[in-house]
Amino acid sequence: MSVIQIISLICDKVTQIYLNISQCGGNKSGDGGADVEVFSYLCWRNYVRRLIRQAQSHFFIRMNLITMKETKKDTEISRREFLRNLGMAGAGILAATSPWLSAFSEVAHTQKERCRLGIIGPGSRGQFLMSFIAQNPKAEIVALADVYEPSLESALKIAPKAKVYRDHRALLADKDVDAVIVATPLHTHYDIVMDAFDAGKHVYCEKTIGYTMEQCFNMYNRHLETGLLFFSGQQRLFDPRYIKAMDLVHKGLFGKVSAVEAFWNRNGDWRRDVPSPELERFINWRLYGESSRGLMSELGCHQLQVGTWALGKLPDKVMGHGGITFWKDGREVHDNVHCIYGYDTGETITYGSVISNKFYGLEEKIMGNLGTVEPENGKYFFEEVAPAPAFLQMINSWEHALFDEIPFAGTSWAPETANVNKGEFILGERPKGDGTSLLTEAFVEAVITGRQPERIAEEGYYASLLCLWGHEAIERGEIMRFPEQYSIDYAPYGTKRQTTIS
Amino acid sequence: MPHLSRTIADGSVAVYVWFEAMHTRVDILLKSSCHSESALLEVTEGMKRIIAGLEKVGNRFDPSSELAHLNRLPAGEEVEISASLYDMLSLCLYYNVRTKGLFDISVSSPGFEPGMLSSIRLGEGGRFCRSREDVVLDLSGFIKGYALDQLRIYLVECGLENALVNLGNSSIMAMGDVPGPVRNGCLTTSGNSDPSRRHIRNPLSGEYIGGARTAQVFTPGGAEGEVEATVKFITETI
Repeated sequence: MSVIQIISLICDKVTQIYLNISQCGGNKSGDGGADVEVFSYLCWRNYVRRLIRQAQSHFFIRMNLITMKETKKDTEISRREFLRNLGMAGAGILAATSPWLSAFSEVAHTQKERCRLGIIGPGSRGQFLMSFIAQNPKAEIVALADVYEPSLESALKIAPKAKVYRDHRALLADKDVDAVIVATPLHTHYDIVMDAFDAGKHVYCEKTIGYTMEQCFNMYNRHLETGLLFFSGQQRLFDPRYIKAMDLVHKGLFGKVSAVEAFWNRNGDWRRDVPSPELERFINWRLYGESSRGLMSELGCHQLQVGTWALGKLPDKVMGHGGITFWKDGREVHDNVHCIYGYDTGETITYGSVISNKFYGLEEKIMGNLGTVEPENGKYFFEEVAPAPAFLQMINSWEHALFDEIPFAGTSWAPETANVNKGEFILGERPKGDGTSLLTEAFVEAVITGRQPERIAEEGYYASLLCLWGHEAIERGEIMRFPEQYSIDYAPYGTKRQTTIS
Repeated sequence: MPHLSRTIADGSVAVYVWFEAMHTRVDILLKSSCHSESALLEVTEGMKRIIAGLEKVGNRFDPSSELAHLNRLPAGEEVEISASLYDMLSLCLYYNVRTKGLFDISVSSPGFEPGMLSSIRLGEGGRFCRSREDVVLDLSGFIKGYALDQLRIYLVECGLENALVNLGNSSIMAMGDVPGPVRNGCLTTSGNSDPSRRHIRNPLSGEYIGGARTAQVFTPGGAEGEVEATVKFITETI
């Protein structure tokens, strides 16, 4: 029993005693006097609770500060604490929506453990991941491998003690490496990841995991065969605003979701500076068909996963179109792509990316008959009137038996001005960052515990499959049914995949 | 109807629904250990119908409402009115007397003068008649509390013991085990949310009362809560 629950119990008892005294004393004259006094006691009880809570809060903050000071590098509040602070107390509560959060279930017991990581491909994305790992007291970057010297030089500034390899196989042979992070160009993922599994290393592979659907399928199966960990760079799976949004979506807050409209628009050539012309295809590998699937594999992979996460099932068919309409600079991949993923049950996921207009930017609109979620924006909007925050708090209090101050009652509520719907922040505040930090920490935790978090490999696999499938539909100019040969044994959210093939 | 439902550790089910009615928002929270989620949602549908029914009867701003019809009734003409409107009007007449005129549903009449409400006559068999055509009856400051009372009766009939009903934050009714400061009664607030809003009129002086100030009362019933809150707000100004 918590302190607050004990205080509540005492307050209830005192109030009950007071009520009995009032009634025995005949103070029930019908003029409302007794009621007013009872109400004043109810207020008093809440006042006491508030005082206790404030004191408790100050105590916890102080304790956190002391702990942070004492442990120096262990300055991070535990991940579970982080989620709790966001109103998502306990990963168990979100098990249905985000079961991969189980990666943090042992976080309190792994404080003294260390995970030794090798980074294969410490280029721009690789170094971005390294920047988080370097802050993690449970992780140590012990090795780097790259074929591009400038990347290695730059990465050594983040991990100066790391051993340097020019061949990923040499890094994989290093016994000091427990696990690897693969952040190389798309077309190289397959060989590196398969080699890593063969070498007995756990793998975090940047998305899209494979250059072809068959490669993805083989990689996933090798993960199953070896029992080694397999993560992919789907950071939205660990982004609190997405986790919370999906929890609300799956609980029906926004009604029946019929469509997810995802788009990622930019206005830029998507090029990197090339120090020498012969390095063009090496540096700008994203722009060439031999090494990339373009916008579908580099951007779409993230957002298509959001669509299936929201709808809780995989689409049955896809059609698409793409072209090079603006950046006619010798590139081979489209600078604008659009795909429609359809379900036999009628739902739709649309995905579009244009890199010659950034006005609408980036978003995934999850559209229910009662409301819309824009997780990237960190907001949700209701078609009509939104639920009251205090009532949301209350029903959650009932569910989790965590009672708190409930702020409501006042003069009459006035509706928002017509046609102005500013929406509500999913986490009650503007979004901060994304889930990359938590994703890398989850991988570290998983390496330490040796346990593959539920569904994370499968979500990554299907995210990759969806974008490659869409890419193929664009290239063929056909409506393609789901490639059943690449179905895996995965029933997300308890829904068995339909396997109808026309 | 938008809703959220939760299964609680003790096995009971909680349902939260919200919608707009009576020119405000309505929030309903129900909890039961002997109702399924669908049964609770059926109860909330019934509650919505009760609120809509009362609004259709007592919203003077709706030209098709029964009350609007009465406000257009020629002097001296007698009509039979619905049981719920009769009940509301008779209660309002009673409270007008009991509060010595401080609670007055005719205060919105264009040429309002104290005692105007006495032109209203309620007779046997649900008959209504008025002796002045310029009297305008307005149940805006009463109907939400009355609705809470009707909803409570309905909830008890449905076997519900735990409920929280919030009509626009100003009229809240709680039954049984619900979180929050209100227990087994009604919390009613009357007043102005900002200094520029002046919508409550002192029936004795005819003056509108300004200032960002509220009066709050906790009462067993909703109708009496509306009356007491209004009277408290007015008397604290005098």
